[in-house]
Amino acid sequence: MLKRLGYLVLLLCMSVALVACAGKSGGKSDEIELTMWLFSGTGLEEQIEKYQEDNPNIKIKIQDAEYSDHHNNLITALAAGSGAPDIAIVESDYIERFKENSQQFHDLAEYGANDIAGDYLEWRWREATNEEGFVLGIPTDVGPMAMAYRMDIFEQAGLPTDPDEVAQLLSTWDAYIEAGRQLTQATDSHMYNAGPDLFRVIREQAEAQYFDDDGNLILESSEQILKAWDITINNLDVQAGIDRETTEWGAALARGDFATVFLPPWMLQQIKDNAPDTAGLWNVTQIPEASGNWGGSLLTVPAQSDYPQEAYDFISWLLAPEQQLEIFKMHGNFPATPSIYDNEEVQNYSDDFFNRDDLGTMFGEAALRVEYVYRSPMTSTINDILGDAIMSVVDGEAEADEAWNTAVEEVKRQLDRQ
Amino acid sequence: MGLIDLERKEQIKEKKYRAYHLQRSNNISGLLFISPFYIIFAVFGLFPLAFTIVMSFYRWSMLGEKQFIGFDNYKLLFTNDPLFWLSVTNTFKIWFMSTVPQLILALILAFILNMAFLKGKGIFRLAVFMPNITSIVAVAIVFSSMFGTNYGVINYFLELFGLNPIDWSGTRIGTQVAISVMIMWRWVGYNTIIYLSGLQGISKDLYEAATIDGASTRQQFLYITVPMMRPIILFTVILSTIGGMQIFTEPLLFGKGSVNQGLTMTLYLYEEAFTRYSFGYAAAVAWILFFIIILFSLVNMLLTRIIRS
Repeated sequence: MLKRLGYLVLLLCMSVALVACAGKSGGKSDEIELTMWLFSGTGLEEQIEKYQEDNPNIKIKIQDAEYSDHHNNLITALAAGSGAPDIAIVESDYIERFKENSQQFHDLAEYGANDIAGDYLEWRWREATNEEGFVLGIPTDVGPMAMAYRMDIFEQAGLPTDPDEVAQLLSTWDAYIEAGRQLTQATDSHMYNAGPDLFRVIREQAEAQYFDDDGNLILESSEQILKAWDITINNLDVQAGIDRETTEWGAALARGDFATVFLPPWMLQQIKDNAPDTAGLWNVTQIPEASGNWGGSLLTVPAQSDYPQEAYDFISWLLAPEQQLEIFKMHGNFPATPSIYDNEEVQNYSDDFFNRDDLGTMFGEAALRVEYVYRSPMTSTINDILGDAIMSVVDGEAEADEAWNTAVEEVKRQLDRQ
Repeated sequence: MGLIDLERKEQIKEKKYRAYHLQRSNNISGLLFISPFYIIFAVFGLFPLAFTIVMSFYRWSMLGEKQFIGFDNYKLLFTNDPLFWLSVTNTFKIWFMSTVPQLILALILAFILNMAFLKGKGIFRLAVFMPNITSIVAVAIVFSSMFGTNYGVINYFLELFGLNPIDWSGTRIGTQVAISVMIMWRWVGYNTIIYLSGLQGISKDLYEAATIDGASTRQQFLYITVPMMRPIILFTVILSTIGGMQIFTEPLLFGKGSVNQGLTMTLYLYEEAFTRYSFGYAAAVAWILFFIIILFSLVNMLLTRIIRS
């Protein structure tokens, strides 16, 4: 009796499996299905819909995951040799890691990527390629930085509130710190949230960061890195000691515990979400000294894909200037294609929350001011180590010199291990 | 006589023969029935286990080529990896800070829940066990906001009572205490239920006799409950040890702090694999972790023997 039941269950399982298989293989033979892995917030969905309407033989299957899960899934699938999608998004922090293993991706140059290179920001395109001319991916959006400031707190501190005057006053980092000190003393607010963020912004203005173009470590002699470290570490009194991406940050933003926020375009939404009551209290100006980039992604075609040409045709359409304009209008993701920065709708991108009707112009200018800088796969590890070092001084767990020495030692240890 | 004997022998033989065959087919179907577990275990348990041994002898960034380096990963781990040894100390500190108060609290709670006069026992038991089935990620996120330095509810109460607020995420001890509290909150109820079942095995006669002799509740607890519960307490200590060596989600979500004060062994393993992509090295860390847990369990067993005898 029991035995028969066992067979029955086995039979049932097998038939279910069979049906499942049949379901998968069925479908029209001329229809191509492209799988696409994204993380949330890319704003690409509507345009993907449109592409499918115009190209009925292509079906795009989107799979969304959380930011770091997405990248880990992708790495696992690539290492496993199967299961990777036809198209995968890669965020700028991961570009070097994937470029180092270019054999895992189709070289988009082979499918015509070089013809459209001129459409994109030169520095971002260089990041997407390597010395041999391999093209890892096509740029989606970019994160050129401006700076948002709270007009009410600036006024309280006796600082100017008009954006032009602010830009003039805060033209150098020293001036920024000086104004910050005045603000910190006059109000119960601070100039910015936490040391590591200022360090990041000044670092991103560098023409060379931790490595020279040959890949040698220049951490201890890199002018801009030392400058970023000194300015940050010697003036910790103007920062509030509140890490980004915590609940504390949101609460502090709403309460006005810090008066300036370094502002890549995607930060606009984060400010609105966390501090809805501060609408109209903000204004935007350029960052002292130079611009810098924070974030943005590429769309890549993993080598496991059987349809690289179709995938390339699709993403080169999706990320062409016309579509980037549509995405920008709908979601505010800032385009990587400078040809549309002059477009009226980009120029007049307005936001009452920030009291600006020319945000697009500002970000466009900032994007064009960004310079290419060499990064290595180790860059993000070093960023983490230095960020922790600054925070340890903020927390009072280490002295400045001690923190620097420990960090340099740790950086060297991590590099030696490679 | 002899003939009957022979016939009977024949019958018995036949029976045995049948029984043997029946047994054999039963064996096969039995094996088939339990095979799913072994197949799944082989694929998801045994193979990865064996493969980490292989991996630990390679330098492997997962995406790139594997490079055989023998025992270099282990050598590096023992000679030049302050972070790993820091994570070992952190793990033991956090384990101690969470386990000791947790077990004491659980025992007291179980004792109260077991008292005869308590009404609504079912509800209390459920309430006490609830944290254990709450999503650990949700717990860590809620506790992280509660332990906020500027806007956390715990510092708010500290200030209300005239105490200085504590920089939970910024100081060594603050972070470790915060993580310990999260673990405690989650596991006190679980241990309480285990203790409760142990308490119910203690004869009521003992308590009645003690009450007649005029022993107070405190005396009853110390001289009847605790000694009778010794084997169960030891069981929970071993369970907490195994759990405590694997603390991961709490420090990952709360943040390990600027001087790695919240970096536990498993979090270090994860970081090696998924933020620094040194999969070979992470595999070596996993094996050392395995031996540390074995060693610690042996010490545990030894102590248990000494206490028992």
